[in-house]
Amino acid sequence: MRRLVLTLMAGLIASPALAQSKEPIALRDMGSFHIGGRQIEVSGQPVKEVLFTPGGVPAKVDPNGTYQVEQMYAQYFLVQNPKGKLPLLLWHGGGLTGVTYETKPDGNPGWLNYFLRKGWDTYISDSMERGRSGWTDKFKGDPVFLPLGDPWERFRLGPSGSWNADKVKRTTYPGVQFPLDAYEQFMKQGVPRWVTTDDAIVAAYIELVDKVCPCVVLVHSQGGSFGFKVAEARPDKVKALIAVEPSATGSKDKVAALKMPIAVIYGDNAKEHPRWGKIRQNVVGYADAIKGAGGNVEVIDLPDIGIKGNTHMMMMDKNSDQIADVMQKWLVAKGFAD
Amino acid sequence: MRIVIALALGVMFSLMGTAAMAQEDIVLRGMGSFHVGGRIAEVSGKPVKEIQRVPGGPMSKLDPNGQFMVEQMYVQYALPKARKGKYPLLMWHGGGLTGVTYESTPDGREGWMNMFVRKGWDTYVSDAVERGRSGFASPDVWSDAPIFLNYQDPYERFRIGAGEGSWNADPPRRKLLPGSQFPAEAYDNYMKQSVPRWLGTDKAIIDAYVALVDKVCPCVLLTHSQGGSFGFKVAEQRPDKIKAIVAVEAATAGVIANAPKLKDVPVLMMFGDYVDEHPRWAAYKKTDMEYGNAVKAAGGTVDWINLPEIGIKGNSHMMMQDKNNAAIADVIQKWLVAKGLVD
Repeated sequence: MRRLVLTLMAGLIASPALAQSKEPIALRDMGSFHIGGRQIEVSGQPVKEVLFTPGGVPAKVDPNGTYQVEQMYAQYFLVQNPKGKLPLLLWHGGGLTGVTYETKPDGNPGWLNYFLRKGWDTYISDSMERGRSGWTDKFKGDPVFLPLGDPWERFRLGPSGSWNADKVKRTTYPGVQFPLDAYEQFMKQGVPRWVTTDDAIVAAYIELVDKVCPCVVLVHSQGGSFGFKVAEARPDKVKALIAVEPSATGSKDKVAALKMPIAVIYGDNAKEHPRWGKIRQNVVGYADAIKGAGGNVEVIDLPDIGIKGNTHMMMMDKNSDQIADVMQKWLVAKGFAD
Repeated sequence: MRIVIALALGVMFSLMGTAAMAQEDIVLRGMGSFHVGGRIAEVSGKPVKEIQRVPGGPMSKLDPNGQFMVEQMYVQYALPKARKGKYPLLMWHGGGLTGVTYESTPDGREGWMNMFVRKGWDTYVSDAVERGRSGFASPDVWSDAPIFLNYQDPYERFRIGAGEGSWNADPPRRKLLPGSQFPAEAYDNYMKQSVPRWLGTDKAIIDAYVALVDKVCPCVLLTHSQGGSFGFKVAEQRPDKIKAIVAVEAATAGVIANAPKLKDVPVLMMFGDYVDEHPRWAAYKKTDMEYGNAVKAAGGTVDWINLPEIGIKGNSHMMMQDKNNAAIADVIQKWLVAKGLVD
């Protein structure tokens, strides 16, 4: 209820971009599926008696047997009047799920709704091991859980030393676009991640691409590395790639495959940042290798085109529509949308 | 691919007369998601780790101590332009599963989420605390280990196969219950929907559901299996906000002593086929009946539908995914209309 009122109010006070959010979203279909994964066998474990519900009926659970592991969840929304010429796949970053692209932590519409309104058939997935994809205790190593303050500095809301458990003592970069009051709400979107599972994640993404592509893939952060690797493996099916703050790359010895248009986008305070500066430099080197092999990559630093204050989570920043406009224009210019 | 299947099904259905609706657009005045509830937990005394977050990326420090956001719940909503349900409809899944229960079926047909949106309900599908997009807490916060289900377990326990011994790794040797409506050929896809569950988190799960109810209700609850117990317990805490409960194979019900609090909340209890023959489900049914009787004794309304008794046979515990899921959704809708909850 409050959400609706918020949307309406935002529509009244804000830009022409938001005025459209009062229009209904017409879908010819919506749904979901799981894809990929494999079966594993477990043996030699003792049978347990489990009480599933307090006051319920005990059930025997035999931990031996066949298990499904490493599958991936994808949800799709197919618009009534497609204007994008191919499906658009949105892949999130580390420790997060497809929720990254849904409603923003401050309650405003995110990039999923933006791209639906622009006429894209949109697929959002939870990478293998995260969210609705499920997970298994058979992964190597332990999952990583992020403390409440960790992303504040690592995702460039503020510089080193800017986090404080006490809200009023937190500081930020000047003009930061992240909805700071909704930081705790953002942290509710976090899920554990393993650091040993990349191959299985990439395998599931390749299955997704084989099922629904040719397509345009939009990736974020850790998803950047997955996007490049999947494009290397399926260059005929990934027709364009937008990498939002990729945190790593594919292999320089496979760049010859990458002839599709690629846009790489970084927000503010990235070049100078001790960690992001290195990451960006690494990605720029990879982009140069792609170009050297005859590929087509543009690296867009948002501050250089006058868009300031964006964090690593720019799809949640207050000006997320403005950044989506940059991507939409790029896609139109490349001939992927009418 | 999917579209071709959808079209093929559309043709089949219109031949069968049910599904002109499968071809109509879904027009939404709003769609989105949010997380609700949760708390900040403190962890201390653990060593700082140095980890590489991506192969080839730089090392970064990870301090496992400090504050962690835990026990929040994810909710996704779809609000039809032509709203007919008088209240939002909240769909709560069962144990070891997520809201995906109500989305497309394992064999790719439409699920109850789409069906109820098409019937004009503002629909909210959530992932219980600890499952799916709600995330889960570290062993520093939840000390017990989660359980994982193998292929055999739901096949025998959810009345897809004919009880113990009906599972076999080789599909032709599985003993499906006669006339089973479960899309057995898509059982692998069903297993892909399952997620680990803990057994010590009920309070956190209920707290988050209460936070959801406080945010979006008055509303109607549609619960399944373990979610049935949560639905009744939440209704006991917020009887003024729950306008009706549809409990699909509740396992278990609420607290008998609190049942009188539901005297103004119409309840529908629904069970599928082969329940009385299955010792486990017969026991759940008995527990639910005792609770229902306690609600009735306090002046409440509890309706029972055993699907085989109204001529709907072969339904498994996962009836929202069974081949006749549209027919069961229609039974639920008819009950909601009869209770005055639809314009």
